[in-house]
Amino acid sequence: MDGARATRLSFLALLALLMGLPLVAGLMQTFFGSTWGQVRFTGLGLSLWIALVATALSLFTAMGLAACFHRRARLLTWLSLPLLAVPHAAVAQALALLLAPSGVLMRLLSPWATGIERPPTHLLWDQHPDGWTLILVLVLKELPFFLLLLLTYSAALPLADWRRTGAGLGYGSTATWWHTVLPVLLPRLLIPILIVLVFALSVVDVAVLVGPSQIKTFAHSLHQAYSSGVSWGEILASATVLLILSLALFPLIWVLLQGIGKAQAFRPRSYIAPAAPIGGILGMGLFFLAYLSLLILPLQSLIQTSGRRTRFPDLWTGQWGFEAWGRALEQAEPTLPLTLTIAGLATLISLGLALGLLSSERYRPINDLWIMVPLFVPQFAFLSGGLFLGIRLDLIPQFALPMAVWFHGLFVFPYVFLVLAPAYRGLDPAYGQTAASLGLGPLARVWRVQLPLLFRPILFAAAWGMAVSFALYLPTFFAGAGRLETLLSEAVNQAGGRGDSVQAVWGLILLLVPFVFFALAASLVALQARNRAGLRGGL
Amino acid sequence: MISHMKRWFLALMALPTFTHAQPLDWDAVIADAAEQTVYFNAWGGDDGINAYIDWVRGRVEALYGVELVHVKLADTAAAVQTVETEFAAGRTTEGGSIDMIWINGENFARLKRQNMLGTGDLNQLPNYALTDFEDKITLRQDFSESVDGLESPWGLAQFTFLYDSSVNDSPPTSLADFAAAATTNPGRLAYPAPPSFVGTTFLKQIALEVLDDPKVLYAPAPLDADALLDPLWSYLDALHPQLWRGGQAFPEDHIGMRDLFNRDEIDLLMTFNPGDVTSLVAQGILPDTMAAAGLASGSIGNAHYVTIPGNSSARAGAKVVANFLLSPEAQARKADPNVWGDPTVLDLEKLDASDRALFPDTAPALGKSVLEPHASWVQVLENGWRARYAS
Repeated sequence: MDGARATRLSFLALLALLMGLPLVAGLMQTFFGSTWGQVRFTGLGLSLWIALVATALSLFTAMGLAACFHRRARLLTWLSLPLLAVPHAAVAQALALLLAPSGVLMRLLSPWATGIERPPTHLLWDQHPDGWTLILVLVLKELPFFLLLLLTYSAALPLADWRRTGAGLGYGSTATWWHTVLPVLLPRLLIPILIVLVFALSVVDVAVLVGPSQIKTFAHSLHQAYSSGVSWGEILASATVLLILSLALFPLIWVLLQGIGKAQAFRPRSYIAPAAPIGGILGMGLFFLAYLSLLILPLQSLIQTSGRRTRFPDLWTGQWGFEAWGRALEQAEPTLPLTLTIAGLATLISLGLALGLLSSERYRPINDLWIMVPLFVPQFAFLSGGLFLGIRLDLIPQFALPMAVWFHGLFVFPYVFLVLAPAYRGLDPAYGQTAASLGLGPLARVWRVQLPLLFRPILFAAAWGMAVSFALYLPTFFAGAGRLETLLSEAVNQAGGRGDSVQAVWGLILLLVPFVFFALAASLVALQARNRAGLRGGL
Repeated sequence: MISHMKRWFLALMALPTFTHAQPLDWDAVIADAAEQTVYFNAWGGDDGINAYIDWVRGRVEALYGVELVHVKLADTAAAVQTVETEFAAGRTTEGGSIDMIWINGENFARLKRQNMLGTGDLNQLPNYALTDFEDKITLRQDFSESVDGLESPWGLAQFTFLYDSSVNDSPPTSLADFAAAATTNPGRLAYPAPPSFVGTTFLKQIALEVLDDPKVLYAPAPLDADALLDPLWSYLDALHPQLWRGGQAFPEDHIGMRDLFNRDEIDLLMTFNPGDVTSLVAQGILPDTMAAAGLASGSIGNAHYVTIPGNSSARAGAKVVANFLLSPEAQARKADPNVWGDPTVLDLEKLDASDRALFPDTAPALGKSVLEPHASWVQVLENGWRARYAS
């Protein structure tokens, strides 16, 4: 036991050092650097409303879809993965191109159906003042996230048995799932729900694209204050408000989940049954909308919009625009090696840490909440601490690349752990014991038994980690004092104000790269599973 | 807390050198500059400007052996924050990661206030003498903040309307015109929301035209400043229902306006670069039928600069680059609309004939110019606007 204890302690110490140091520095700096009394609360209520509604809606529709179609888990997984890979901003952009008063939908319907010759000027669909457009984009992205988690977690449950029991009591499979599986799964979703909530509270890039324009969300106006030279102390103070709010949501959501879980389990069938199909139908509609709007991007990217005005209601300017592609690829290509190096190293290290930590868990389980801390703290406050520390220790900008890997790891690790933990914990210890009885040493047991069994979740976690790293902007910027150019920083530099075609091209590039990660992971899994019949199926 | 104390301490330490800039020994600067690497933090969102900076890189390498690296920013505030964090972490005299920043306005004022900008000898760069600093107060006052040799001028800007001459050939030449055009074409005009740079400037332009006594705008804003702006607020109250989205939504900034324009949602653009009309067409961002127009009573003008943080690791190299940016060669190339189209800060009268000949005929000309109101009005305008229309 002593060996296990030592391993565990060393992993925990390493983790505390890697994650805790910048975090504590960030919190200290946020707290002591804040200029209290100048906090701006504008948009706080709006942000809270948007975050709560978006989280509730995406959870509800994911539950509905899972309840109605859990027997088609594989199809749902394949439908969800691409959407999971797409950056939020790309979805926002695509949806705006579709729904804007001058967007594709309105142009298709005009003037024959709508009778209008010019884009309607009073519609606020693309930036609804109550945040509905922002909510829609968030739901489109978080629905697949929740759905995948529900499917993954429920795969470990004896679904077939429960279904039989349910059928014996006169319940259909949807109702059985809703009344028996859901109450078990809901409490496990506490952390994912908090992640989504905090993300929705602090998201900026999506809010800029589709958020309310006049009374902006809290994070959006914070960002604007930052760009327009408001004092750093004032911004930190507002960031602290966001942090406190995020922490306050913790117990609230926990109580709520317990309550909902119990209610679902005990309510009579007639009362609650419609919820599942309503959620399912809504969810299907959302999936349809997501794929429809993502189809717009490739079309838009081929239309020459630069140097042209797309007259309403024309759908295209009459010219194809391949040059936008040529230029973007030319600018994207040199950034790929660095992008992949940072993402690859951050993911690899996170995987190693996660596996090490999980393997030491036999001693005492780890509270997942601690692992997720970086995701609950607004990126902004967290990173300013990391930056301070890096400069103080003369690591920035001298060691830009290792620092970037470190900063990326802070955000990659929690996701990698989140994906890996349930699979690892679900691993039957009997495999290891059998292997040991066959004479395999501890290392060989890990290498020849555990890793093949965990091949699928490891690859999936790796793809997810790569995708997370790939979408990070501020960590790269701060770690390299702006000198490191990744694909995303190039996209951020290039996409602003250069016409819809250029934005669509960059949106597509941002969409395709993480998708390649997932596709690669999926094909490797398929390859490995060829001669291991028992590993096929499920996620 | 520590960082605050440190800043105070620094402010005290920096004060003496701050007021007495040492005479600049240019030969020594050039000697020190060789082999230095200069990290130039500059907004990187424009291909034309990026290509120009790349050209500068080649030239300063060939002429002085200085290696220039363009660190592309999406937002200059990020560079300002990096400098602030470095100072707070104790890197106050050297070892900074930023050697030069493309800057003006609030970002400059913010660094200047905290004494993070060197000794104020940038007005001793040899080529500074060629600039039009005597006649152009915008080269001495950056948004009413005195420049004091803490930044070196790079180019000029002026509030300008852009429109598609194939659709409409009578752009507004006054704010009364603008309001009338909005009424005739409801929903087809917009302006960027303050505090975006162009949006706030548009408010200043209106205030200059509609206030009974616009002279108050050039003095520090008094306590009843918001009430003095009543004519501005009534102008906007009447205007907004006629604007794009009925004044219920505004473009985020002047770049956001371009998308709306190219999607045929609005008919008029606002910019701070009069050269946009040629350079954005040359880059294929706007249609080639674009034309520019200023206000008959004068449009607000200002300048943009480069500055050297006090903790730069390559101060000599950065000075050499800043000086090269002011050379007739570099300024003439920058003024070429096919390159960038940014108006020069040099006084062409001061140049000899061969240098003057470098400037293309198509270089953008500035229209009638008026000065920025006193900086204290910015907060009054932005707060007043937010209170009325965005809360």
